[in-house]
Amino acid sequence: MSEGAAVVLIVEDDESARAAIASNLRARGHEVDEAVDVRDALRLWDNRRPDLILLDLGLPDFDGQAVIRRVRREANTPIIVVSARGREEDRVAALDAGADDYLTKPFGLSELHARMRAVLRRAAGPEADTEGRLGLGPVVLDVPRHEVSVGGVPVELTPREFELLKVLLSQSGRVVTAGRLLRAVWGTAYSDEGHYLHVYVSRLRRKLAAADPSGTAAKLIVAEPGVGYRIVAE
Amino acid sequence: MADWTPAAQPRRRPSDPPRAYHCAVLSRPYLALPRPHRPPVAGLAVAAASLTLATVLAAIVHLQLGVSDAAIVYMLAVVAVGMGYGSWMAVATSVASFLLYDFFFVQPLYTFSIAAPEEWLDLLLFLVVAIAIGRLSALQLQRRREAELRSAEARAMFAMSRDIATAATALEAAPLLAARLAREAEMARVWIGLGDSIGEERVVADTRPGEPRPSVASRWILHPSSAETQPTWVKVRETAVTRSGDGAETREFRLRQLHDDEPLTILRVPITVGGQTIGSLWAAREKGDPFPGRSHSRLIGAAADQLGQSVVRDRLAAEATAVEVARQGDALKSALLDSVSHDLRTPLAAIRAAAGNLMDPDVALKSNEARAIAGSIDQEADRLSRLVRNMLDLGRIEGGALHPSLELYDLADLVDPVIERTASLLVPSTAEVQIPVDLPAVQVDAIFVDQILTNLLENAGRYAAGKQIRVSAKTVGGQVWLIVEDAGPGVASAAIPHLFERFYRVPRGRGSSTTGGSGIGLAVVKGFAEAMGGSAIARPSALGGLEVIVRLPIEGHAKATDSTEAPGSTESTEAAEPTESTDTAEPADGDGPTEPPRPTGRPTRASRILIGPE
Repeated sequence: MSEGAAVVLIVEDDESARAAIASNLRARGHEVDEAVDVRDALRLWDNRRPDLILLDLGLPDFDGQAVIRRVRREANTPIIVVSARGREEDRVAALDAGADDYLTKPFGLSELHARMRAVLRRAAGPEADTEGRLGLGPVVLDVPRHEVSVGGVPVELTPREFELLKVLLSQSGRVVTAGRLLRAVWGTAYSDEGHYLHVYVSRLRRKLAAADPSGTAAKLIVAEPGVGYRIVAE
Repeated sequence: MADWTPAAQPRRRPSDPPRAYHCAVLSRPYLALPRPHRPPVAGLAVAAASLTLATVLAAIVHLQLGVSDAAIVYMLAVVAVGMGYGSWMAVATSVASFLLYDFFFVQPLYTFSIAAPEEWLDLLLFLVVAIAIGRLSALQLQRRREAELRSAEARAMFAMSRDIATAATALEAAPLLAARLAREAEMARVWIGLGDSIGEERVVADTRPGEPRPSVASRWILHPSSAETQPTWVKVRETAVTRSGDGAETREFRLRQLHDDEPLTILRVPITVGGQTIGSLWAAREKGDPFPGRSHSRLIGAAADQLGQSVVRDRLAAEATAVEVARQGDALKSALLDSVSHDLRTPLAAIRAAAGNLMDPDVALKSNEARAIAGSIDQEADRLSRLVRNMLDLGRIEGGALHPSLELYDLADLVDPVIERTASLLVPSTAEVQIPVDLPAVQVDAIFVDQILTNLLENAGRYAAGKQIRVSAKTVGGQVWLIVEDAGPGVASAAIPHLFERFYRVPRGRGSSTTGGSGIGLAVVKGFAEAMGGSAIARPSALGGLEVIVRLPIEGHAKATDSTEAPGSTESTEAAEPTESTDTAEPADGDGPTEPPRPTGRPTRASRILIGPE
């Protein structure tokens, strides 16, 4: 499956890693800009607004976070963060700053393409239809009516569960950190209470699974251990 | 000759002006003799009673029996008082006897005058003999007391040596020693501080812990005894010098005289090792108490010496331990190198060969051939990456640098991605997953569990060779067991207890030597499991191969479980855990709250309530 032709900005200081990814993306029909540090990246961002940014966090001049903050002030362009293992807190900070997804080094190209497809689809597609409905596979969430159905079967959700599903569905394809979910659904006082989230997510999953004999709804919400949750769109 | 230590400044606020200490020194030798135990009033009373008795006895002897010279009876009184109350009382009693005899029994009677000159001679001789006998009796008393003191001193010294010898460290011995000194040397309070100077001393023992310690600005220091000299106490007084901003000095004498306002006499014995002071033994005496005698001074000095030796012993032991740790570290490093160099080189060799093949201009590769070669590069790089990751993790485990961030997870959330990611490793086997839907949440570090399961699956895949691999989970007591087992050839039962040791490789039987791992993976599994408050064990699987069980803590059970497992345990015969009745029971709350309660700093309790039916 192809992610379509896009303009991709790769920000990575390691020459061979950058070259390998760039040549692969070009071979797949994308246009690629290459940046080696934050300054370079922001210059290229100003020159030609890319469709997607692949951002290594450990850059020689500044923290890669600077790129996220700047881009998010101006556009909703998908950003995939690349970080080394053991820097989980950097990853959460980058996601909270507005990055869409992350990859841990070393990663395979097939994984990269899967993530790119997901974030590009989110960026392209409308978040809700004209009647305020969010749909994904068999799951349909009607925002104005506060109703959820799976394959046409209505599912009873509490207001919190409804909010949770709404936030996740509206961010479909991107990782939503636990802190962001807690703030969005419960409010800022709860942003450190990851335990609530776990309980509500497993309850929500159980309800969705019970209404869907095909089993696809049960796998809709995927945990990103140590980071948060995401809706898997494919 | 003073307690002059420039660094000896008590802790003070940064705003305080700098202070220096000057010492005023007064010397005072120890008291020559231990003071009499009994007060002199009692001595006088006993002397008076003895003399009265002697006079009555002499009168009986003189009048009834007609013995003319009854003076000898008074000797009894002199001996009795001398033996009980010392030399001066004996002399006084002798003189009193002389006068009494003269008064009552020498003509003219009832006067102190003497008629006959020969009586003079008798009486003077009597006086001389009485004094001599009195002194002899008193000497006897003194010797007895000294012997008692020496014996007590010897006993105390022995007990102190035993305290030091039986305590594992100086820090352990210090409180015993302080208590013993307070008792044996009759001190109101004893405390021991260790540090390079008085200001930096850290108190390691105190017989009255918690009470504020008295000011030590004015104190007596013990100059220890040597072969020639006796212990001597020297008075030292600190004076503070206040320096104002312009450098002018104002001296402020702290007027703390020994006999003035201070209710206590402060004694200090420096603890020295090789000429360097490492601390002090402090003692406080009530002002009314007599100054410590020679024997007690020796005892205190010996205590300080022994404590110093004990500290030296501790230091030597610590150095020996450090050397041993370093040696083991070296051994570990070389074992690590031995073990992994082969495992590192193998994938590297494969990668270079494959890349060389792709680069070779003389080799015309079909596109599917090139892809297959690239695939092998990818696979070998992946293997290398896992090995490096395990090596780094083992380093963190060995270095004690593991800091798990424990959170609640559905185990299935953690297992599924690993199964997906490792599917290619297991070919031609596939892993079958059996995780009950109602499994309680585990309180774990997600990355640790990921690595544990990756290692276990890689291990199982290495040996299963196309046969069944099963990943399952169940609740046992206060834990969740994550179980990975295979239907491979299994491990000899003799090898099972060693499986989790680092660099251990199964001798043979389970696969050939070429498929053997680096002996790191299972060590990491165990290290990670224990870091999370769980444990890992291995035993033969019902499937025929090996079964590895990782016990993971359930919410709220983390504390309870981490002490139940002795480190390094690999019980292979264990059938089942005793089931605790403390499983997560829900309060019958009817409809549980839909709102989480506000965070109160006890999120585990709060979320447990939440699990109730909605």
